[in-house]
Amino acid sequence: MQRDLVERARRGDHDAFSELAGAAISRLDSAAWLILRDPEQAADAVQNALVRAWRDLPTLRDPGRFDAWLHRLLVRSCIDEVRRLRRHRIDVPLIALDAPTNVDHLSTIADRDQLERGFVRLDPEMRAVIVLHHYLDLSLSDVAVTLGIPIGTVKSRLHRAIGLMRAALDADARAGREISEGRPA
Amino acid sequence: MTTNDDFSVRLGDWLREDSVGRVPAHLDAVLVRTAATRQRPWWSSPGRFLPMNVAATRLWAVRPVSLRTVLLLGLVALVIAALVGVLVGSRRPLPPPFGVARNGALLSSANGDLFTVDPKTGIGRPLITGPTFDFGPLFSRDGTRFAFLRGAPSPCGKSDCGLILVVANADGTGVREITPGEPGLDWLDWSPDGTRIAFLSFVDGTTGHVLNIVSVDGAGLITLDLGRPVNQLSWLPPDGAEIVFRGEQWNASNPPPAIYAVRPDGTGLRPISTRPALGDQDFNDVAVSPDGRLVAYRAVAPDEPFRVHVLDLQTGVDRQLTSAPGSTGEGGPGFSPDGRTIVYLRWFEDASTQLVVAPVDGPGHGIAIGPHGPIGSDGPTINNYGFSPDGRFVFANYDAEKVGRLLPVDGTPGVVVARGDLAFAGFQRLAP
Repeated sequence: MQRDLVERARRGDHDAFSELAGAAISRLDSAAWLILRDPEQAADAVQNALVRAWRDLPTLRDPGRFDAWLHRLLVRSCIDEVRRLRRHRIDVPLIALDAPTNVDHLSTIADRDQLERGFVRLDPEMRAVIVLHHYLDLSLSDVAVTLGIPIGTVKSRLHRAIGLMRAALDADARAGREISEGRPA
Repeated sequence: MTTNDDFSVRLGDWLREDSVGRVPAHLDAVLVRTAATRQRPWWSSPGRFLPMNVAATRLWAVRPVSLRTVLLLGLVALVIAALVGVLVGSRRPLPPPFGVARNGALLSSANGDLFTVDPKTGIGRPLITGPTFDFGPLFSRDGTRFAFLRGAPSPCGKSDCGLILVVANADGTGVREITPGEPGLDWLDWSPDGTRIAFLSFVDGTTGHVLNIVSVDGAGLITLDLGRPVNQLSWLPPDGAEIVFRGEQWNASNPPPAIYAVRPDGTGLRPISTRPALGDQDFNDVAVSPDGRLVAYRAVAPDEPFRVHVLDLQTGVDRQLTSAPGSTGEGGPGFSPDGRTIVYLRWFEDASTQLVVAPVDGPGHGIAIGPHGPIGSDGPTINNYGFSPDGRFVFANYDAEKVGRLLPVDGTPGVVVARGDLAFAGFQRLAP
């Protein structure tokens, strides 16, 4: 029962917190990676979020809202990481040269590459909205609650982020067509 | 060209694929860091929800005062002093412990000091200041004294030095500590006759809060073992022969949540809720009517909107207040001084909440008062609200805006009387 663990951790039970952290760290790490696109920054953000969670857990008013609260701490830590380091490093996944070369697979890889290119062009705040809504499957209301912003801001930020990604994908598609037709990109 | 839905599906799939296979290897490092990190005391968070007016606050709005005002106030003070001199010897009438009373001082805390605030002007006046961290004042029912919480000196040889319960006269004199440092000290209530205070605390080896009773002179501190975690306590009007509380379910060894009553000596424990719990969050936000006949609470069933229920302690009838269309939940009830209306918080789909005043026994959706407030990651940002002693206003904090509002119960616009990270501002009860 998570509530029991949260209540015990609020009272200073570190074993209870270890269980909570162990259950959450995979989800947090994946979300941080998606927002930051840097494994080291993601690990730092998760560490900082969990340390803040432990430190401030006694002040959590409603133990039932532990997950939303933890997500908020994580997003704040991610934004802090970006601001602290002021660097943008993009890890480009390498495609094995001997990978099967059927058309569907290449199409899928191209699709993923396009999505990633569009995604990394977004600022971390926009990526956070997308990750919370499309990866953690939070409702728009819960995203608003998690980020502490009005639901209208969530909607506009999500709309703008999706619009930017689609524009990037359309630009990629146009460039691809122009190359295949022998025109300069 | 793809539709938005197609794109969302592709995006969601890609996010999941992109994050697959990440195996965080830094859990041990995190736990090493957390084990070496000291937790913040729960009471260091301003505005943390507590019942009544028990919560820390940082800053009341204090307006600059001109010399002319100072002189004028001095003159007024002289006149008042003269009047006081005339009235010496005549005993001030006291209000009854329950029911409608006249509004007195508004009392709260800021940065570890206690302040009174004029609700009409928002001007604050320090009441108890000094090096100790004091907060969470709560007036006795007759308005002659107040209790408050004080951070215990640290270090004390324990991981949690806790809080000390302190009592003072209404004018800030006669300050006396009546308990040692109590870990997890929370949720306190004065007995109707003003001789004792019930409060919650943590005890080693138990799960959840336990109920304690102490005399206001500091004698006879007793801790009651009720066999289940205790929360949301109130002395049951009109005589305080019993204490009503929420029995909590923190783990599988605890019984399901229910509302109980027990005598202050720990005997006569009995459930007063009349139906089985629908989940571990059921029977929440317990409030007792001023005449002791009714208990209001938030009924919580899994995957259902939570609703305000009113339980008649004489008949055992448990009924739901009329809920409003579009509301995703209603909770946090509190009775008016005359017991005829209830203030509660209504939740909406857009992750906002609003206060509502509704008749205890009437139809309709109640009267909405004050603006909407967003729901934060830690719950509603409209917090620590309650009726004024005369029943004409509700005072409420709007944490997102960092203001405290005095809201007429007829739904007309209210006024901001305080600014800052606020807690509930308790009203002093005066004789009508």
